[in-house]
Amino acid sequence: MEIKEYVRPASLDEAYSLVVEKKGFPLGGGAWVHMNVRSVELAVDLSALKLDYIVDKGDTVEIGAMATARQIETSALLNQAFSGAFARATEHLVGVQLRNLITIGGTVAGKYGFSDLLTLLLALDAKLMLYRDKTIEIASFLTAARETPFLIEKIIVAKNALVAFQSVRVTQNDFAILNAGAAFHPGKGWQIAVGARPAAARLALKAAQYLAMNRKPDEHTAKEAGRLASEEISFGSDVRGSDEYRKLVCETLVMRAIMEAAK
Amino acid sequence: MKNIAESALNVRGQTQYIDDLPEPAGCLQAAVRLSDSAHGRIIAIKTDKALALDPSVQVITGKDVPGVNQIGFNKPDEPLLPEHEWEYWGQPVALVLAKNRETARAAAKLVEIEGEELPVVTDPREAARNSDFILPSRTIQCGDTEEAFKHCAYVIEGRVESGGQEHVYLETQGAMAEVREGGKVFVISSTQGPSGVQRAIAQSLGLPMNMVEVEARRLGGAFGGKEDQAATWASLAALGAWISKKPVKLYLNRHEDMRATGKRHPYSSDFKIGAAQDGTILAFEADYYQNSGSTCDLSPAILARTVLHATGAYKIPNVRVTGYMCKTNLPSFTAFRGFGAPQAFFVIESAIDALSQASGIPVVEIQKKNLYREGDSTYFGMEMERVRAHEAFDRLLEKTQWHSLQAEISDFNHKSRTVKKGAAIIPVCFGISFTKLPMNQAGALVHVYVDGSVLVSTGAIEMGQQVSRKIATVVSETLGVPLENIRVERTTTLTVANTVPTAASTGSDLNGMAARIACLEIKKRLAGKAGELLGASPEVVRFENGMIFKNDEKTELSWKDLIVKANEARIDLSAHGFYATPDLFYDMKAERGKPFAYHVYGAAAVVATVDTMRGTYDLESVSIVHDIGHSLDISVDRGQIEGALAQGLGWSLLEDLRFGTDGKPMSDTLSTYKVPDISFMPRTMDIEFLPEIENPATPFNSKAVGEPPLQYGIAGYFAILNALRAANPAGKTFYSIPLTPEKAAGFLDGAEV
Repeated sequence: MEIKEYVRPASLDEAYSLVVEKKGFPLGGGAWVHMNVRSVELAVDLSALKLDYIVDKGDTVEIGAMATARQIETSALLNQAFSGAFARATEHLVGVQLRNLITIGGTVAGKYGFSDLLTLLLALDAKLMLYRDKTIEIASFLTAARETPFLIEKIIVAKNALVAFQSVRVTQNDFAILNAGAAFHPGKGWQIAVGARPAAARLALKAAQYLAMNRKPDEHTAKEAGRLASEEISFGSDVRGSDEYRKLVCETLVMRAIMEAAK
Repeated sequence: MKNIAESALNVRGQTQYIDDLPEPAGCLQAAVRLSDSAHGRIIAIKTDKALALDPSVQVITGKDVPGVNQIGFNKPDEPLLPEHEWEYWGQPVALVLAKNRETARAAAKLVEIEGEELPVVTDPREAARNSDFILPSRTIQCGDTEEAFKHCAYVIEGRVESGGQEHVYLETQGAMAEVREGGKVFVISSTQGPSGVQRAIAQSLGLPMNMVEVEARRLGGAFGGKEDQAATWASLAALGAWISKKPVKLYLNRHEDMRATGKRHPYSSDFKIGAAQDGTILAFEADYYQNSGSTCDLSPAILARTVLHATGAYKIPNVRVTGYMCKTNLPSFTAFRGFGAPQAFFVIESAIDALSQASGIPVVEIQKKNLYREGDSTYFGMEMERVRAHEAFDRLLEKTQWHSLQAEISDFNHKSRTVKKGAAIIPVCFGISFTKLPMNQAGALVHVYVDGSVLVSTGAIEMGQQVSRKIATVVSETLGVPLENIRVERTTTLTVANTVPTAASTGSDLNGMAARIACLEIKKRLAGKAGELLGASPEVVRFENGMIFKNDEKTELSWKDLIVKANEARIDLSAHGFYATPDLFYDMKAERGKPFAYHVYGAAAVVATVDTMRGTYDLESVSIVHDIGHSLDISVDRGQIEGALAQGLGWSLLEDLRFGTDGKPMSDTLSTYKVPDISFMPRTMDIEFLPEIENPATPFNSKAVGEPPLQYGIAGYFAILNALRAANPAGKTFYSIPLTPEKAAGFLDGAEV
């Protein structure tokens, strides 16, 4: 990336002004800076905003936009509250050095198709708090195109969900061929997400509807939900796998995620 | 100061590669304009936009080559820069120089290739149908296969596919060149073969070879990828320096390297195998369609190794094997560890697997029954000596408790619904020597300085395989001088001329022997002087650990004192050694002879589990019994075996080299082409060496280790295939590597899980 002007604001207000009003290019963790070949007039480094927190708020956990993948992977709070699912969804990211760079805010903002973390956040029905803006569900963030710049302040996740994350990949540090998250939300039912299709994660609504409020589905039911998910989600082909293979393993991943979450 | 081991410098980050070296004053950076389709006729190369980018930009094309625009020596089909036609996607078409790398690369993108697209062929069988071969086919036969098949209880035919493999050396291709006083060209190249690079530069610049000096310090990996193909980049750097009259550095970035350079040859093969009722193999035929890519490169020598390893570790009385070098519009495939042998091993093991499936005779029984024995002759007429095929195989069966293991696996598979287990064995018998016989030679220059320290120069290139350490060990043992007094220098064409590439697993054998011969000459001179000083006959003088012995009696005379005295007596303390592997011969017309100095034997067993609902697998363990002779360095040899195994497993299971039907590279980044990582490797690796054995063609009875263990990875394919069969006995067997999870899932499709 070629950067013409670099700024490192110390406050959210300043960052907001630079990103939203002056249309600066926000640098999350900066993991792509070396790879990206674009030319940027104004780069806004968000690392001084003190957004690298993961805090317990009682019913929810709040994850600052600049919390790194490594912080998330090793967070006792997250992994106790969500049965290790956050570790499962971050531990395959390349290597520890890069996981120390990659941030959750950058991951969410990029809407990366290959992301494991986005799939998990979608299953968990996470909320995004945009600075000086509204709080929105991650599902609508992923599907709606935003015309105007924005600044993610934090991600909020309710703690009461029972969740599991599954993926299949060629090597342990490669992007997933496919991933899936399943979460049971008391009072609301199941939320099932499938990502790395290779496009970005989407919800399997019919599969969730089929499970309804069944807190502990048996293997047969989970398998049927997996089948429904594989039918309703669309898949593409790339060098990692064909659409047929993705469809095939979707059924298994969703079934296993449901069974694991229901344990 | 003691000589510090290369590995210690590496660990400390103190080793210097070309890109770490200080650049000469005024050094320009080079970039290449690569073709962006697979086949076309050049109408014009437009440079205006590139030249307008920056005043420092220069663009060089094929017409600017002052000498012969040709670096293909096996066949003149490889222009340094094409003037008429480009033949694969990613071929360098123009060289761009500029003040820095960014500008050079930006300018290279602005060079426009105006051309006419031509038909593209990527499938070797299509090329064969078009009779588009690099060179004529090659057939070896013995006995009468046609007649033998008539008497077989089982005759099975099949097809085998094996993919290419990217070298993924850590250091990409590169070179730095400058023109020095008197028009002498000096090039530092990341090459396995400095003399080959020297020849290519001399030819392309129209210079005699004595006006070109090529140095290779060390390589950040090569695996065969820099045996022949480093010449392109070094020649381009030299061309840039020659024309610009300034030093030039050319380094490919990873993407350029993966696009522009050759890889392991993909093969598509047919086999026919026939056996008696008891599993004795009576006849074998194979046709190998080698995807050679766009130019000849090393394809003939690689095909030679294929057809000379067609029967693997097995004695088969009736054989007919034919290899075809099929020209396609893909990068020119080149040397890669194993050099055509892995493709042959996969075919014969697939044939045996198919025979087992048809006959019901366990694979291991067929393997054991047909292994080479002492005194056997190969199908090309080489008498096998010191054969250890059974020794390795039987020891492996014993250490893995193979029959109990089979029962355990069967029990596991009976109980486990979604996870299935499989195991497989591969025996290896790998011939050591360059298949191009004149290449089996090496030279060495040894100096002993007056302080007793020793400097050794050979043609052996250090590329992480610790050949320097092995040669230093040979010198140390030969001269009786402690290892820390020995320094093995970088290779340059000034000190040792006409070197062969460090390849074919022969680096330590050939160069170690040459160094030993030089040392023996120096030692002979010194023994005379020592005898004189000790009042003894030179025959009773012995050198050990820096001291001089008379018979078995340690004297007061040290190596260092002896060297001082010898120097005062004007005794030459330098020597050149030359070694040519003895007794090699091969009649190309009759296809009979002794092309190998010796064979390396071994066997490996792999156990794997498969998740039958996803097609993914896990390599549980590998057990290896390997014939290393007398190891010159046990840690180095163990590391070589582990590394070769990783590459063999990667080739067999993981590394998926893809091109579109239009010849476009589909896996030309490290995000789309995956190599084994630590979690991919078997959780347990048990490597055992066979007892030492005489091996007169090498220093101290050592044996080559670089390539033979790569074959062990093929057992990974069959272990997983067997696990898949446990899940779906009706699955349609295919012999196609890499066996990716997606292919495995295809096998399982329809399985009851």
